[in-house]
Amino acid sequence: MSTKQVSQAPSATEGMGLFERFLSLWVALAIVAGILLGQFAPAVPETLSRFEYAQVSIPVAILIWAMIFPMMVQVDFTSLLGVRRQPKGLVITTVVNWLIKPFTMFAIAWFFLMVVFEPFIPADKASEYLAGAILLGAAPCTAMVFVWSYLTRGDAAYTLVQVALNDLIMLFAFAPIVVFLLGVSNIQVPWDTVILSVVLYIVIPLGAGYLTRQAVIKRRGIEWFDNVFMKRLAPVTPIGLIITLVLLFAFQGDVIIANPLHILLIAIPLIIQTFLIFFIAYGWAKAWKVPHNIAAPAGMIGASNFFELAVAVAIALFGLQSGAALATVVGVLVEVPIMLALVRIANKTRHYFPEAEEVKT
Amino acid sequence: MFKHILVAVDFSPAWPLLRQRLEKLTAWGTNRVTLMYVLSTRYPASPEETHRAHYEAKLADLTSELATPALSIESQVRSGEPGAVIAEAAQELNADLVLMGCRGYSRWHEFFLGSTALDAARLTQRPLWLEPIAEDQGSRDFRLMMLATDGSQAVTGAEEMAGKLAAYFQRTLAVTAACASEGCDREIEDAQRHLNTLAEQIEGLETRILDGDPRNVITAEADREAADLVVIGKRGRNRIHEFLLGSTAENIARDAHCPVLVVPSKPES
Repeated sequence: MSTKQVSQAPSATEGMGLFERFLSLWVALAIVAGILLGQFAPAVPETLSRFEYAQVSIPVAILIWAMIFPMMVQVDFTSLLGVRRQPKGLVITTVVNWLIKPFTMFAIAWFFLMVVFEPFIPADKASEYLAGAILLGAAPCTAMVFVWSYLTRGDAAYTLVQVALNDLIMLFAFAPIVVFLLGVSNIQVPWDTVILSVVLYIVIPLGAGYLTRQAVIKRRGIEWFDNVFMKRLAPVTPIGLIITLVLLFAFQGDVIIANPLHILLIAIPLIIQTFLIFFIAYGWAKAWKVPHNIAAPAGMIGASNFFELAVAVAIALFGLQSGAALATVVGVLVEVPIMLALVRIANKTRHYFPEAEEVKT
Repeated sequence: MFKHILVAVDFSPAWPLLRQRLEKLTAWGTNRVTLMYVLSTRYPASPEETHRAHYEAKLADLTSELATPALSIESQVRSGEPGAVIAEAAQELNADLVLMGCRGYSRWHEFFLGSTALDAARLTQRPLWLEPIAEDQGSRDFRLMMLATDGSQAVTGAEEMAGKLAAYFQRTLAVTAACASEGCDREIEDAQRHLNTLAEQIEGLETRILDGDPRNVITAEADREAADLVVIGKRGRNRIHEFLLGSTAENIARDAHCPVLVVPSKPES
């Protein structure tokens, strides 16, 4: 009898589920469906938008909770006990995620949207798109990053610790970063609205997720939680995401039809930012002689965004019709193709890094 | 028959059924079993790495329970996309058979939630035994095996496998789905000729030509005959093609109420 732990080689995109593999396609279809809904049945989104409490759209809040809650149920804070296991990887990603990424996102998005693309985008719209980009840059990825880590043969335990740590930091750092960068951009958002967004879309799902996780595991055991409960709960996230996007584009239809080029223009700084952040984290890991199974997910966690949260907060702060919400959706649209390109780069440069067993951490 | 079996263990409430099947299959001369549990990375799931030690301990307990002097059991916990991990592991470990549970999900359910079994069926390069999992069912015996064939290169592996398995079943039935209406005489003749050739190779083989779309009539015939196993070949198609158009193998694997043995096509000679 023997028990082995093996790091296997995933075979490119076959290692992804159908939904995440073709996420860009589903998002594009959601955009089309939303625009058609807005054009031919405008009463549907208008009626839904009337259900508000304290200026929060109830249907949208439900959809966003549906999107975020299953992810938060899976955040395992006990993994933080392994925080000392990969100190270099954790330092790199934490610094990149919280001290570099939000500010490079702001700088790159500001340069392109406010300067380079000034002739193509009206100033008020450019400000809104910049706000969306800031929201994308202020929260690191929580769910898709496990897929990227797996595709690069990353250390899953390190990825889990880093995500749990990021979620903890996000509780305190997200709001100040967002308010500061929006303030620098002359976009005034009241603190109480930002705090309300953080409470609604981070604190409540994270707290409810933690309590649910503890209660389910205590009552039914680890196996039932992993193999029955989570398998039933997990599809709620993609369904919530797609319906949210359909609803969002039911309001955005006129903007998209009038300015289809804007999607492309928003995508350019987002793509540049993603590559830049990946190479900062990945290059830093190379300089520190971090093994590839840590360096690759470190770069991936640094580069990818918590787009679900960005969409949620953009809607809460600026509304479904806003340019900020549109910009965050462009983040969803380009996420998979860019990250797959980075996966290929990471896999092709594996030989530049020491293997895990060669490095004492 | 299957010297080395790789078992995808999921510890769901239906696991005891899969275990019953494993015990029946190992009686056919298996000397090595690998038990594998996969910590899923499917969006939005995170692999439950903090539960890894729990699953390693559970698998270790299972290996102790299942081991006999003639049977070497090993276990592995891996993380990744479960269907892909299982298919890759089968190839890497040179398994003669992969055994896993299969729930009958709709396409939409599969799209949002995924199906480990159907993903493995698409990707596997090794024979894959899909055991339908229903908590109120028991594991079936080996009375009737039904081979679904269309006479193409893609099913030669399945036909060979059925020939070897026939010794373990009381009855073996080979079926071909063909158009039975007027003007289809040539198609029926070709099908009958192929079935006759098979009957010469497999002792006691019964043959039948079914009228209609193979994606529907094969499963219906398996139900009508209360088949205990359907053996099918599979072509190498991608997931988006199968999602949009469906393949015979995938439809049978999804809809059948009995175990399905998916045998990958042999390379063109």
